[in-house]
Amino acid sequence: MTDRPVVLGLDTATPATVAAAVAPGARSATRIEVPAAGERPGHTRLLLGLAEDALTAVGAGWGDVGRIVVGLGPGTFTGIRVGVATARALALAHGAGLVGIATPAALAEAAGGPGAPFEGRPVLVVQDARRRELFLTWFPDGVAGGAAVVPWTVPHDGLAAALADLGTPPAVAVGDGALAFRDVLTGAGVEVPEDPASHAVDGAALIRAAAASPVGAPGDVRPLYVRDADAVPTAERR
Amino acid sequence: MILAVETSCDDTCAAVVDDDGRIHANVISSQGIHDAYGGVVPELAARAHAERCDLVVADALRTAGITLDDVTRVAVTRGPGLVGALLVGLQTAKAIAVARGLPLVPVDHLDGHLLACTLRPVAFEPPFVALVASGGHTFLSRVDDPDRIEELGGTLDDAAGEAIDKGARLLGLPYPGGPALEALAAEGDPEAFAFPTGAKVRGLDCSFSGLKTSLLYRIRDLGEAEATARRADLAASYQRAVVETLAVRVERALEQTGLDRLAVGGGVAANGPLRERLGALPAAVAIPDRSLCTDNAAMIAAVARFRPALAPEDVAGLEAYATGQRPPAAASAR
Repeated sequence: MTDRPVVLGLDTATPATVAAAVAPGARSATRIEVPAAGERPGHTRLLLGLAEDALTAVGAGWGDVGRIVVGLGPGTFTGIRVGVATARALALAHGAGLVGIATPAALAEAAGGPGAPFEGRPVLVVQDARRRELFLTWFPDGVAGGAAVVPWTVPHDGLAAALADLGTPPAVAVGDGALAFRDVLTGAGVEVPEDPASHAVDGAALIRAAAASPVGAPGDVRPLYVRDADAVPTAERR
Repeated sequence: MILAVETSCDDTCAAVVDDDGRIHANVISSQGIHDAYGGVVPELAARAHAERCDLVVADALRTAGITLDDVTRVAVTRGPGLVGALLVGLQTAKAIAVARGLPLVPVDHLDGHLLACTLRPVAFEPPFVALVASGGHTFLSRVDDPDRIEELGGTLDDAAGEAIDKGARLLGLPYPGGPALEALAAEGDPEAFAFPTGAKVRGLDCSFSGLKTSLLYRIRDLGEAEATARRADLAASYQRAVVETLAVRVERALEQTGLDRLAVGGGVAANGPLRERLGALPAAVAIPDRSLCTDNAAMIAAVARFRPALAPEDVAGLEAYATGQRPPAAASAR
């Protein structure tokens, strides 16, 4: 893989469109576009352009990419499909290795990973899940640490109870849901960083979080929906 | 070689077609997950596309015996269709085009159905009148040239395939209704009941809502026992009405345009009595193989032969359009 040493990271699980490229010699570039308030996410329109931009910034082209890391979600269903479909097709285009990783692992890595402000301490990722619910993902050791990451949903008014159920109190909570429910979290003694960047997916952190993950078969790299589609078979309808 | 991708509804499709219209691969991965829901569930369709779209593309390349090195253009359905479903194919095609530095040709799905018959071995050349009838679309167009397409008429309410599915449901048949209704109708008398075909309504637009309501009332009037006993007659008469509704407009379109060439596309073209009825018209009639009538990517490649590629700087940002949101450029091309 030394002839194609560049790693590309992509994430479209949150309203932001995120791309990052890391090349040998610690050269790295991250690109992020966040929609303005009230605007729809521009994942389809922006993702490939941002990825190309990041590659160019580290002096690389598409053919130099040996490994692609994609955030699997949870997030908006359409958003995570855009990321996964793009990553799988890019992997096909040049035979790059493909790694899927839960998006919250990137947020946890930036908060509790090596060298991060809360290194090694328990991190709770709280994401807006719409429908008056939150996605929670729990990283008791600060980072994924190889354990399977299993996000779950709680209703807005169930956050306090969910915190109590964790057993160990989180040192820090990050994610757009953490910002929205700062009061509940800080009331339970959980720190919520002021800096908005702490709550957005960082493409370089996504790549770092997946550093130990083996390349999988493209067919196994699937969106992490957490929720089922709203559909009831005819036979079960009343 | 053109590599084409189509994911506008519930079939994940990829094809390899050469510039002469020869099909080297036409892979259609039917999801088979919607029948239990009585119709296509958009979110389930999009999920299934995301699980397999790249694999279907790889399968098409393998079937054609080529690699991406042999591909000179990528074509993709941009719309109309289910947006969540379209986006998977669109991103797949865009990513391959961008990463390989290949031209990308965005294609309108309905143009695909219109020009499917231009592929070999049928290789039916314009000018012709085209009838496209499927579960999502029903319209008549005049095709003078692959770039000069004029819509002559459409449906005022349901698509023909939708009318068949709804009729089948009223008769207690499973979804999708087409094959089941046709099988049941084969045992019945198409003259047993008179259902409306709008034959006296002028123009080239058709309507199926009155037909469906008429079946509903007829079943109610007959009573449960009698309706069950005469199910085959009801199916045969209902199917005949759908066929006649379409055939009458096709006859008029041929007359009005003075053309004596007819192309038929869309999933409803698989219906035996419709093929028989249209085949008997005094015109050269082209009905491609079933795999080119239902949704497929070969027909998308067929159109791409005649359309310009996007400027390279516009490829990465290309977006899809949903049913009912066709941009003026796509609409005027028809």
